[in-house]
Amino acid sequence: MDVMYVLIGFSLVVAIGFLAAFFWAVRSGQFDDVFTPAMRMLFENKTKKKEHRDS
Amino acid sequence: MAELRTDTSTACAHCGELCGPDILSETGEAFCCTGCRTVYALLHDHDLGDYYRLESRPGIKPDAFSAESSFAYLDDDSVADRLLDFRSPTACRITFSIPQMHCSSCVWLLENLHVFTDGLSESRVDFPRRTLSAVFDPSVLSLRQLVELLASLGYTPDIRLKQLESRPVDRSMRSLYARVALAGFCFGNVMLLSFPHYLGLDGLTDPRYAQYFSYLTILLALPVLFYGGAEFFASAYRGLRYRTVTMDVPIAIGITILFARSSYDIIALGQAGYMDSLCGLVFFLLLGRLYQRKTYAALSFDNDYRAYFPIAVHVRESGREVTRPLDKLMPGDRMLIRNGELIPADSVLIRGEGLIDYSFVTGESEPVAVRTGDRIYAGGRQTGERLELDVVKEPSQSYLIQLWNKQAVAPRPDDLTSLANRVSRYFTPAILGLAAATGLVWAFRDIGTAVNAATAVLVIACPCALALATPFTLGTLHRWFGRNGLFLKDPSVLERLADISHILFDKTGTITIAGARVPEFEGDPLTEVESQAIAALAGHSTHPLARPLVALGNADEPVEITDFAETAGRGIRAVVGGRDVRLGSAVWTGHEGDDTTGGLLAAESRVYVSIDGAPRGYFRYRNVTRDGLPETLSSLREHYRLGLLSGDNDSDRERLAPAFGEAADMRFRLTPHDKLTHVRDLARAGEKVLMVGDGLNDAGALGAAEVGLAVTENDSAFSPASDGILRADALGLLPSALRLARRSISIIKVCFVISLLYNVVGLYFAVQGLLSPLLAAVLMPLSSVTVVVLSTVAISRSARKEGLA
Repeated sequence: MDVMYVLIGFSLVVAIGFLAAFFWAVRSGQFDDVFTPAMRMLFENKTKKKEHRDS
Repeated sequence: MAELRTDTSTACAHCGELCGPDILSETGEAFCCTGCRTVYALLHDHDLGDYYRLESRPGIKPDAFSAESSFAYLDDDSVADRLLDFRSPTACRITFSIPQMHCSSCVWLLENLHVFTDGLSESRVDFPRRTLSAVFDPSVLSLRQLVELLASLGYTPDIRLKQLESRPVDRSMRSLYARVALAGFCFGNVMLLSFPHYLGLDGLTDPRYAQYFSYLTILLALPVLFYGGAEFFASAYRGLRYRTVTMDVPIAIGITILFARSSYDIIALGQAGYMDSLCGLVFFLLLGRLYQRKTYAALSFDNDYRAYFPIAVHVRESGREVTRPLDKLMPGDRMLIRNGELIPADSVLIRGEGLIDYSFVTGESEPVAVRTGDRIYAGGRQTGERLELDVVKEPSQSYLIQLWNKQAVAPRPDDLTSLANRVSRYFTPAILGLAAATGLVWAFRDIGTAVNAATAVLVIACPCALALATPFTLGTLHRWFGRNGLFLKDPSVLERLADISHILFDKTGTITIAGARVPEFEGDPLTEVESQAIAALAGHSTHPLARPLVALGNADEPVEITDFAETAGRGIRAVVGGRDVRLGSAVWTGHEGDDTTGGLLAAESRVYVSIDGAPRGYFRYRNVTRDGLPETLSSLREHYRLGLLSGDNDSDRERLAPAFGEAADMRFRLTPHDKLTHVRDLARAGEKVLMVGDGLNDAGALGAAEVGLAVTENDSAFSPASDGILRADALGLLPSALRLARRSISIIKVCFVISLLYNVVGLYFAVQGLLSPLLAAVLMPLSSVTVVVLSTVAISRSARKEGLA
């Protein structure tokens, strides 16, 4: 049962990894604007297609 | 105005404004102006027609004035340097504020600009802040060209002097998110690790596990105390420096004791400790902070004059017209000011017929006539022809700005006087006293229990629920108000709003609609044909007093006009439908016996009329009050003393008097300084004043009042520094807003009582030295959740009952 010490410690490390990921997301500004991306994802990327046609 | 055009109306395919069928595109869409047609064609040429598919008629009518205004000052390297976020020879980054953007089409277009703009590699919109950040190659596209492109599409960036000085980026929100996340993370894990203990499994398993778990909770609680809790230590210290015991003091004491006691229990006694309570407490308190921090990023509540002034002016220099940044404008420069432009420095009129609109600066509703050689004060707006002016003082030395600086009020440490902190002033000493007494009583019997009981008192009394009642009640109400057009700087304004005893209104632009004036005719009644003729003649003039007269006629019946002539300073005439019609001064129209100061250029505006040489009388102008004003005022009158502070003349006194009631104190012809003094006098007499104003002339009074609300026609317009911004159409919201503010205080008080009751239960066990970690872990979150749910639900119900949407 001594493996419990390792497992719990390991699970904490994994969880801390996710916490660190969240910290990184906050630092990089992903939570500065939580409104515009919701609009942006509805836009179709038509303009790209046009560029392909031209080239 | 719209009904005048109903029968010919089609909506402009770009901006949706009603328009006639005069301007059509090749494919037959109708436009209100060539500007709209240009933008429409441009977008279609580049396959950007999606703009019109995302929202129906999303365009902004390109403003002729801003389209023609020159952005030449952006070529000035020193200006550009201060505007750019980042600069290199091949790439520059800049962030513009574009208040006009309003829908997803705007976002889409602004983010697709690079499709038809060479040199622009990226543009990104932050919609809540109404900003666009762009990356461009300065060797291909200059900053000026970029701004001109935006202006031609109707999205003129709002480039202000203030922006040049400093642009602090608010990162406090990010750190708050991080703190909440950390506290939440640790809270969850500490609870998991405490589970064996909650369930009484300690005895069943290997005791070494329990110890291992307990040590882990110490590790997890460390960052919560030092990173998450740092907020509370800092603000408790800040409060103590102002010699006030804020609510954060008992919180700081509570979490420190919690940590010390738990560490001792775990390390020395091998018990479970209260780390779960500690993490939960900090987590809930930080959530409260987060909830209270909701701000309106696109609005600016602490504008000063620099946000109102343009960034550059046209100057004539050795015969050439150049643009000059405002901070380089020196006495002796010759400025050129066109129709609609702001005069940014005290100056003397050299050439041109000045008609200066000071309504935003002084509250006068009538434009002021200025003749060559007269002094003009900064802040006025020219209406009419182009002026040449000699600068007398630098912009920063002008009369208006001196006045502003003198009125500048030091920011008060708001949160120190809040209800929660007033309670804390009694609560904290009481708890400290109780802890000491408990310790003392037990000390005679058992010193161990004494420490145990005394610390338990401090732990359980930690006013988590008490501290959450205010942010959740006020934060919720704050959101309700924001949705209905009243944007408060922060929720703590609501507490002051609840205390108001006296309400003062500004007139021009606040209870009357700025710029909207209805002509009233005095004299021989005019026939319909004559009115039509006058309207037609007035339509040929750009004079601000002529424009309201256009509405007298019916635009669908064009009248033939010949021999139009305008004599500056006197009036206009023309032959309309075969009759000689004159509009203008008394002398111009043959009203010699009458008030000779009347006329187009008088302080008290009258426009005289003569038809076929016969004097007929004059028009005078009535200010238009906002809809529902009498109802709003009479409803406010029941609870508050009302007053009117106007910088204008008292011609509206009789019309407004019934609405304000007999008790109201109505004052006219006040200077900005008079307004400030009046508010201060009332405050000294013990009145809690709410000032509602809009202009620069109210800035001092808004700052000196207990609460200052700035009224604005649209959210993006300049408003002076204030505690809140009230959208003009939401003025009627004021009575229910004040009622709700008072209601929120009662709700907070109820929550205080409830959380105190929870405290009493906890203290009952604590003083006996019987507080178990499990009891603490249940009691503390339970009281917090009760208070949060109760306050949020109660205030939302009240808001709905008041008809807020």
